[in-house]
Parts: sequence; structure tokens; C-alpha cells
Amino acid sequence: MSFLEVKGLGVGYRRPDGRLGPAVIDAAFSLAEGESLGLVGESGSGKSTLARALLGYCRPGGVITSGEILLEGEDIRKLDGAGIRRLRGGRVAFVPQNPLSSLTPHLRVGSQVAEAVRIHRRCGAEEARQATLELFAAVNLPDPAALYDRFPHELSGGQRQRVVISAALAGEPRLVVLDEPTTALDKTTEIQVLELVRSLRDRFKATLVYVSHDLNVVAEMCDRVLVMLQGRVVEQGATTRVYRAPAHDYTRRLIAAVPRIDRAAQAVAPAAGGEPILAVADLAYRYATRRRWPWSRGADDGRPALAGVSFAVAAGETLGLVGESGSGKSTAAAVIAGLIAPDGGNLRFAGKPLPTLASARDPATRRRIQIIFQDPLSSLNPRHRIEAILARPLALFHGLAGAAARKRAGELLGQLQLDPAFLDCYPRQLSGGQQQRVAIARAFAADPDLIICDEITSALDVSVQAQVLELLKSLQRRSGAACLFISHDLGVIAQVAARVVVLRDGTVRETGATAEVFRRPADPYTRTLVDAATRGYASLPDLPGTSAAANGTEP
Amino acid sequence: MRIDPFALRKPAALLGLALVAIHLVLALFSPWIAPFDPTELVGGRVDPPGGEFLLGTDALGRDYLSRLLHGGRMALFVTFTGVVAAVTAGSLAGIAAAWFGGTLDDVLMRLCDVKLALPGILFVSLFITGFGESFGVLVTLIGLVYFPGVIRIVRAQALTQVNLGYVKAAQLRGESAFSIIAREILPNTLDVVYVEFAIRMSHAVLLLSTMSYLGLGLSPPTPDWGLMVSEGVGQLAFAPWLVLFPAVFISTLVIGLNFGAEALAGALGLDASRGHVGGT
Amino acid sequence: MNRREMIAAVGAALAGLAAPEALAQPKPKRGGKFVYTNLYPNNRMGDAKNGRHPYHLLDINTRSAFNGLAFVNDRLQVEPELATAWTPSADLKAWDIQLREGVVFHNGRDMTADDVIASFAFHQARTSFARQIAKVEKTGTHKVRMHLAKPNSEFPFILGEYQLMIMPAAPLETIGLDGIGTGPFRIVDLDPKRRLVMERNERYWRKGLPHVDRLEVASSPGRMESALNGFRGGQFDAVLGVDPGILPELDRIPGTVVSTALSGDQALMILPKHEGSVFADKRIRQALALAIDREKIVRIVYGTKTGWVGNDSHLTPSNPEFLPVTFKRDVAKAKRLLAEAGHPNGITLPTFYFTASWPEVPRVFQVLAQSVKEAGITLPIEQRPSDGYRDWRVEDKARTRKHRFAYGPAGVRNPGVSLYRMRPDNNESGYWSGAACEKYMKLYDEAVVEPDPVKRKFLYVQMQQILADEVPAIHPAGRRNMLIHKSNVHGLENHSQFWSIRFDEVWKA
Repeated sequence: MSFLEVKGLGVGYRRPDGRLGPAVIDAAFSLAEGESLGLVGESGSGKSTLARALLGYCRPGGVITSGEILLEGEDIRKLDGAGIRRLRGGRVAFVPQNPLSSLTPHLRVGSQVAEAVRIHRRCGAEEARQATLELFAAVNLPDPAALYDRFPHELSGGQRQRVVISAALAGEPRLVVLDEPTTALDKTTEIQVLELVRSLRDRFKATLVYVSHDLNVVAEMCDRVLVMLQGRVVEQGATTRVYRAPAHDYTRRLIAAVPRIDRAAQAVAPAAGGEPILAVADLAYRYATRRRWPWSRGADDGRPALAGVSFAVAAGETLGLVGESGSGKSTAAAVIAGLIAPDGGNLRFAGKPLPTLASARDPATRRRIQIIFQDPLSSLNPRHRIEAILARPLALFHGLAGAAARKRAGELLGQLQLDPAFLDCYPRQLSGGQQQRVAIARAFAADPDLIICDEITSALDVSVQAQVLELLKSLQRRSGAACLFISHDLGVIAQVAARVVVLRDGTVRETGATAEVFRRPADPYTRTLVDAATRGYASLPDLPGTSAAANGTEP
Repeated sequence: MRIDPFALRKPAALLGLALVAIHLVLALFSPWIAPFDPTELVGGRVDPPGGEFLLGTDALGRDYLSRLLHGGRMALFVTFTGVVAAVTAGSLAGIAAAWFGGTLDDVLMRLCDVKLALPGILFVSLFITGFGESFGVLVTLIGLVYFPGVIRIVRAQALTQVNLGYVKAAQLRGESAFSIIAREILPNTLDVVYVEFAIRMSHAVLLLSTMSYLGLGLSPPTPDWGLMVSEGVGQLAFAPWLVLFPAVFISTLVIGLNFGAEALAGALGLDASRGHVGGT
Repeated sequence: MNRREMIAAVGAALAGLAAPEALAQPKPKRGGKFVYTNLYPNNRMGDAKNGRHPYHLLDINTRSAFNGLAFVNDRLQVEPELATAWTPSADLKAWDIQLREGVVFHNGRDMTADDVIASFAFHQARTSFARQIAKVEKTGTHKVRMHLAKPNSEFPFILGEYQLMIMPAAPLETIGLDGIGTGPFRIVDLDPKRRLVMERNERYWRKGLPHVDRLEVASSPGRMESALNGFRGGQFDAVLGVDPGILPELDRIPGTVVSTALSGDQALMILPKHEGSVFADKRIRQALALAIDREKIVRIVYGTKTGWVGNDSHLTPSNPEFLPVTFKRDVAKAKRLLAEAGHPNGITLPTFYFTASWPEVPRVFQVLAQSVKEAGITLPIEQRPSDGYRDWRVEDKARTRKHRFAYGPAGVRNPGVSLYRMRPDNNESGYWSGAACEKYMKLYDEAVVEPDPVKRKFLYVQMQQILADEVPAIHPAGRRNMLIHKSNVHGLENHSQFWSIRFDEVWKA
């Protein structure tokens, strides 16, 4: 008898019209004790829903419609309320994606975990405190006694996730379900948390179900993998087997779409010689703390967001700007775009000094520099139709109006492989990838010479990401625009940028040709980043076999 | 506006919308429905309900039903005008405060603090003592009472947008402040503005009744529910219907508006009970 | 007998009448507690200006703790109180006053001329009624002479004003602070604006009085419903100043006795006559006066028993000099007058402002505004908050003699005071002027120096006729003060001047 066996599981969500929309259809798998299972798939594939169902739980509006969930032979769907309560946090524990929302803001983290300990172990306050401190030590929290009395907001993201994991371990669970536990964390922090989960798995002999969109992470963590597509399980098996020899076409595409730094760069090549289109030197910026009173001075706490950053983008080239959150890469984008004025340094654009704020720049310059933002939805006004969104820059920069503007807007959509019928849609009616393509179209509507891409694919699924990047490259190639491409993902950078600048804490750590920098990082920090990015590559298939499929649009 | 029709099908929502609709119809058509002129002295002193005068007469012998019907007309007209003024001005000021920030924001917010720190009834009585009880004054007063709350709510809503991509993009295109406010920010605050309007309406009806009850609102002989309660309260022991009928009219309208506001908020995906209900 | 002696004699005769035993009713029972609540606004029951002074805190309740030199009864006749007789000089400018002997203050001290002099020094500084007194001279241990700035044939009425009570002599800064008087009760506890508790003064100069041991006053200005609840629940033995609107319903409270005074406050419509005001035209004033259905106002608002029709003067049916209305409502004539004044199709008057000094004031003007419609007069009315109403309506900061078309309350006083309120420089007259006004003032000047009450009455009647014809102001209707008490309460008489109700003779069966 297997430890966990799921048969014919169906989960549906109640739609506004009262009918059930299926989210998980006929899922079946089994897991032996101590095994770890990765649930992969793109957003909306039902992987989180399936994971939650293992605890007999659904998000509001959801219902488990069919099937059996046998945990050590016992169907948890047949448990009563008390049985379910004993199950959750006892034999089965759950670690959610956002650690902040699973901690109560006004309670000390120690007492929150201790409460879980008291409930599951039925022990006294002092014993619970001791157990909590042990758990904190087990999840490698520094100085457990001091952390015990802190509030959630006083902890870093990684520490919070460790606290949540320690709470999940309070009931000494046999099965731990982790739903994208590291997605909100930086790459280097993610590695530490993954190390922790792995060591805990070995130490507590728990069975793991690990939900992730990141195939690298799953490759690293899980013995088995289960691939989901539109609520159905399309493939499952041993991780190495599935990764190396995917049976289903979708799995194959998914794996191929993973951006990898060891893949040959197909970046837009820099234009030969010539003056750089953009040159920044000694950029400095510090976020002002809000002044309490008009006459008081802002406190000079915190380190600067940018401290003497210099680089140049050649005409037509794509320069990658890579770094973790807080490295100052988005600040650099905002400064160059003209959203904020730097505290120091100078900017030159096409050989001429560039006024700092967009409002001080002349319309032609404003046209020539365009930016695409990270979140596709919030970068499109939800109240405007796509046509209006695209028509605005056309009218402002090119004087196009009416039918001419609509025609041009339709062409732009066509170039991004979007149906011109979308012109009459609102942004919400589009998927994330389509929204981001509209945002790209809006930027190119201005006919720019420099495009700033600020993490434009980090909110997208891998397969969509690959498509968006390809479209961006093709448009760029066609228009000859240079691109400053900002990302935390080295694989993505490797795919688009010929040259890369590595930022950390507002300073440039390393600059050079992307392939060179990633292959032989000179700076220790770059090396850490590269190590983190390549950890799961061992289980991924070798490159040449699948890269062609991933780059179907490439010549 | 994306409306979720299912939020409007809840019993409370239906009840609310029905009550508001009934009151609207009664108010709009009161001159034709009402059996008598609301100020004419047609009956005896405090005739009980039934007979020629369906809901009796008041202390001066005026038909109570006609006064109640015309009272709704007045209450809705005054509060509607005042609240529209408050919501319109408050929305523009709130967005401007969010967009321009700095001194304008500080000054507006401090003014709101001052107004919100002042007890509502005290503010009302000072204002009425200073300016009287005419229609224009009452509309202005209701406008002023709800203006700061609307500013705060709309400002908060607008602030969430100031850093969104489409606003930044407009800024980087070199759009004027007016264009950004009108084209980009305002359309996205409209949901909140509608709900604000509905909630403030119910507050305003109650406030106007309270004011009239305290002698700070509409002046006799204008038929007004609060005034009718206050005139009737002296005879509560002998003629309880003089208080009961206007009280029923006030509460059904307020309940209707409240449920309606909640339903609207639900339909628009907002939470009326949390962020959007402001005090007076 | 010369005129001076005659006035003195009147005083002496009334003094003989004052003994309580005169009315042989069931024998009063001594003891017990009498609690009443007062719906009248007690303006001074503690405000910022004089909140510390018990004398002022009492305001309209002064007569229970103090006495004046004289007392004005409900028929507006002056009776002796702490004075036993008064004699004017020939020019009516100096008044010799004989004080009652053997009167003792609550603290056991005898009341003498010194106390009267010290009290009036305080009143001269603090109260408008005493301003006409230039000097008070001591002419004996129980005798004073008061010198007036101008002759006043009705000066004894002034001595009965509720603000001019006699307190034990003390420096101006401290007089009255101890709350000690000569009145039937002494103050035990005083919670300003709420409650006043008093106990019997065992040494009261009216022998055998008061009957009750304890007197408690709860102040509930305008709170008719709570007062009635208290009355129904037995908390109060009496309610003073009952809203006439509830009269028809009072029979439903068993064991309730209603007592009405001869008159009470009336509503005054001030007609501003500055340049540009429609009321500068006499015909419009007359038309308005003729169009008002006064009988209907009384019938609807007061229900005949508690109201009376006003004659456009400040006098009331309590005044023996009161001239009942001589003209009838005449809509046709009102229309004719309007047409003559250039308004053949009717007229819309400026907004008339009023405040609810009494609960029925809004009703009076609502009925009034309805009744003038028949004559083609549209009278918009608007209620104002009572706070600051007086200053607001006068609106004469710059001495422009402008005034709002507005209501003013008019209390009950002797004609010498009441008719003087229509003088040209007083806002209540709407700054009246012209030949008729001059004639009116000439008659008034004659009256103040006329010692003979009969001749004075003749002058006063002429003055009222001028007002009725000229209509400088409109007094449509007035109230008869109403109080209710339990049927076991005896000896409680109502009074047109609600501040003059006495509790000396009250007892409970």
C-alpha cells in the first residue's frame, strides 16, 4: 500500500453563473513514504488546487467533486470536521507561497508557532516554547531566542518562510505540501530555503509534495514529477526520466522553454561601432524617507539605491542588467526613463546630455525612449480599450488619428502575433502574455531608439516568456532599437542580451559579454548567481536536442 | 464598469434596491400621488389615521400622508444635490491631492483632519447658526460634511494608481496633469466614487433628518421627516403615529440605501463594510 | 386726598389683602415635598458670564428664595412685598418707600434699609430694569427714597421685577454669592441648569407659610415629552409652561389639573421700515394685518382656552388697559390695499424668520402664512436656531436701522414698559417714524408723568388705537400660560409672568 494514493480526483470552482468549472480533472497518482513529488505546470493548470485538495481543502468557491484521497489507506474525504482538523497541521502540513500573509501581523512569531505546537502536541506553555525554539533552530533561524519575540514585519522574507515552515513542522507531519514556497524570494535566499527543505525531508522522513512553476527547482527537490495542463495530469514519473525523455509534447515544450544561461546566446548583436545611444556615468540615487514635517530633514538612513553606476548601451544593442531585488536595477530604469531624478551622475542620449526628468525632455526625446513595465496588467489602463491604449502614443508622437491610427495599431498587434480584433478588447480580457505584448506594442508605437524592459517577463509563465522574448527580439531587430533589458533571471538575460552588467547594492560588480561573464564569472557574487541558476541543470536534458523546439520562431 | 449580476440577486440587495425604487417613485410623483396640499390646513388637530385622512393629520390639521410623501421629495432632493456636490468636488480634490502630492496634498489632508476631528453635529450647528436653514445652505452643508471623507477615500484609491504602469507611461509620454487625471486616474476611481455616493446618500438622509429633528435642518412649513418626528415627539404618548410614520419612512429609505450601497459595492467587487464607509 | 396720597393708599389697601387666610378653602396641610419642573428656558441658570452667582443661577426661580420690594399679581396689579407703602414726589421722580419691619434673612439678620441700598447698588450695575434709578437714599432704618433719572408713573411695577430681589448687604463684589434672601425657601443645593433644592424658611415673614417643607425644581427647558413622562410617573407634582398643543390630550392623564393664566407671551412680527423695505408702505402693513386670520391661529394652535387674539400692541388681556381688537379680518380690504400699493395680483413678501422660543411659535406662523394666502400674500417663512437668534435678527451692528422681517417674543408687562417698546429707536418697532409715531410718543410722554391711573388708561387706549391703525408691528396672537399639577396639589396659582409664580401657599393633600 502506498503512503498517499489519489484516485480520480476532480475539483471544481463555482462560477458566477452557479455552475462548476473544472479545475482538476481525474487526477491520479500515488506516492511512497519519504518520496517527494513535484507538481509542475503553468498558471491555471490546477497544480495548486490539486495540492490543496490533498489537505481536503479548497479555495473559496471550490468543491472536491469526485475521487479518493487515501492517506495511509484512509480516505480523507470521508473525515468529519474534527478529523480534518486533526489531519491538517498534524499528519499533513501546508506551507503557502506568501509567508507574510500566513503570519498574524500583530502577534510575535514565537507565540504563533508555539500555539501550533500546543494544539498538536497538547503540551504546556513552557514546553511549547522549548519545542518552538528547537524548531527555530531546526530551520536554521539565527538566534531563535531573540527571533521568538519579534513581529512578522521585523523578519526578512527568508526568515518569515522559515518560521512558517517551522510552524508546519510543529505537528510532526508525515506529509508536507509546499505551494511555491520560494517564488517570492530572491534566488540566493531561495537556495537556502531549498537546502533547508531538503535537509528537513531527510531528517524528518516526511513525504513532500512540492508545487512549483520552476522546473529547475523541482528537478533539484523531487524524486518524482507530475506535469499538469489545464487541470489534467499529462505526464508523471521519475524526475530524471521525465526531464530527460519527456513523453508528452507539452512537457517537452515546457522544458525547452526554460531559459538557460548555458544555451547559445541569440541576442540581438550590437551595431558595429558608433557612438552609444545611451551612456550613464556615476549615477547615484537615494530614496528619501518621507519628511514628517515640511521643516524637518529626512533621515539619511538606508543605503543608496544607486551608488556610482556607469554603463553604455550601443545603438541597436541589447544590454542586460542583472541583479537581485534591491540591487538598484529598477531604480536605474526609472532614472533613465525620466521618472525620477538622480542625485548625481550624468546621462547622455544620442551624444547629447539628457535632462533628468521626462517632463524636461523634449517630445522627440520622450518618443525615442520607451519603457515596458514588469506587471503587464497594471501597465495598461483597465478602463481603456486596446485601441485607445495604442492610439494615444500614435496621436501624441506621430499625429495619427482615426482610421490611420487604428490601422497602425492593428499592424503593431500583427507584428506581435496578436489578432487585430483585440483592438476592441479591454486589457482584462487578455491573458498575461497578450497584455505584455500589447505593452510592447505600445512602446514600439512610438518608434523608439531605446527600449527599457524592466523585468517584463517575470510575471509570465515560462512558455509565454519564451514567446514574448522572441517577439521582442524580432521587433527590435526590425526597428533597430536598442534595449536595456533588466531581469533577475540569468537565463532570460542570456537569451536576449549580448552584453551584461551585474548590479549589486547599487554598484556595478561586473560587465562584459554575456556568454563570457556567465561562463567565467570574475566576481564572486556573479559566481553565486550563476551557481544558483544552474543548480537544476543536471537533471535537464542536454541542450542541442531540444533547443530547436524551444526556439521555433527562430530562423 | 464591470458589474457582477449575482451580487445584486442577494435578498438584502433586492430588498435595498426595491426600497430605494419605491422611495424614488413616491418622491418623484408625490405631487400627483399626495391627496392634499402638504401645507394646507384641511383637517382637525391630530386626527387619528383612517377615514378621510389615511395616515391622520398633524397638530395643525395637515394631511399626514401628503406631508410624508412630499417630505421624501425634499429629503432626497436636498441630500442628492449635496452628496453629488460632495462626491464630485471630493473626487477631483482627492485625485489632485494624490497626483500632485506635496503641499497641496498636505494642506488638503490637514483640512480634512480638522473637519473630521470636529464633531459632526457641532459643525452642523455652527454652520446653521451662521448661515441659516435655507435650501442652498443645507446643500452646501451636506456637501461640506461629506467632502473630506470622499477626498480621503478617492485619494487613497488614486494613490494606488499613481505608481502603476499606465500612469507612469502617460507621464513619460509627456501627458499634461489634467490629461493624466481625467484619462488615466479618474476612470479607475469611478467604482469607488459610485459606492461612496450610495453610502453618503444614506448617511446624508439620516443626517438631514437628525438636523431637522434638532431644529437645524429644513424649516417649517416645509414637510420634512425629521421635522415631523420632532413636532410629533411632544405628543408621543397620545398620538404615537405622528412619530412612527416619519420614522418608518426615514428608516426604510436609509436601510434601502445601505443595502443598495452594499449590493453595488459587491457588484463592483469592493468591500463596502471595510474601506469605503466613512463616518460623518 | 391728593394724587400722591391716593397711590400710597392703594398700596396700603392691597397690603391688607395679602394675608393667606383670606381664602377659606380646605385647611392647608403642612409638610411634605413639592417637586415641579420648568419648561421655560432659564437663560441664566448658569452661563459663562455669571455662572458663579447663585442669584443669577436662580434667574426665573428667584422668588422662591428672595423677595422683591413689591409683587405684581396676575391681574397686573402691584402688591406690597418687602415694601409696605410707596409715595412719589409731585414730579414722580422721587419715591419714598416704607420697608416692612420684622423681616429676617435666612441667616437670621434683620432686613433694613442698608440691605435695600446694597442690593440696588448691585442691580443698578447688573440689570437694565434698575438703570432708571439714579440714587437710593436711606431715610430711616426701614425707609429709603429712590431718585429716578426721569419721571415714571408706574415705578412700583419695577420694584416687582424678578431680578430686583433684596439680598443681605455686602460689598458689590460679593453680594448675593451666599444665596441668602428673605424668601419662603432657602437654597440647599443648586445644580445649575438642572436642579434646585430648597427647604422651608422657618422665619418667613408671611406667618404660617410656606406649607411644604421642601421645594425642588427640575429644569427641563423645551423638553415637553420628558417633563410629561416625569409627571405621569409621579416624579413631578407639577409642570410649568406646558405646550398648549397637547391640551386636548391632557385629559388622558388621570388626576391632572390644568391651570391657565390670564395671558402670557405673544408673538411679535417686526416689520422693518428702512428705505427699500416693502413695509415702509403703510398699506402693505395694514393689508397684512387684515389678512391674518387671528381667530384661526388661536383655534388651531391654542384651542381657544389657552390663547388670545393680539391687538398689534405689546399689551395682553392681563393688562387692565388692554383694548381688545377693534377690527375684523377683512380679506377684500387687504386685497384692495395691496392693489392701491401697486400689487393688484398679490405680493410675495420677503422671507419671515422666527425661532421656536415656545413650541407653538412655528405653528403660529405656519397657520399665519397659510391664512394670508387668501389675500394673495405669499409669506415664505424660515425657522432659525434659537442660539444667537436675537443678535442675528437685529442685524444693526452698523446702526443702519435695518432689521430683518422677523419674529420677536413679547412678554407681559405694565403698559409703561410694554407700550414704550414701540418707540422709534427700538428695533421691535422696526424703527417706526412719522407723524403717527410722534403722536404716539407724545401720548407716552404724557402717561409717564400722569399719576392718575384712570387718565393714564385713557392715554394708553389712544396709543393702542394708533398702533391698530398704523400697524408698526403685528401681534397676531398670544398664549395663556399653562401649568398642570396633580389633583392633590392646592394653592398653586398660575401667572401671566411665569417668573412670578409663587410657591408660598402650595400644599399637598
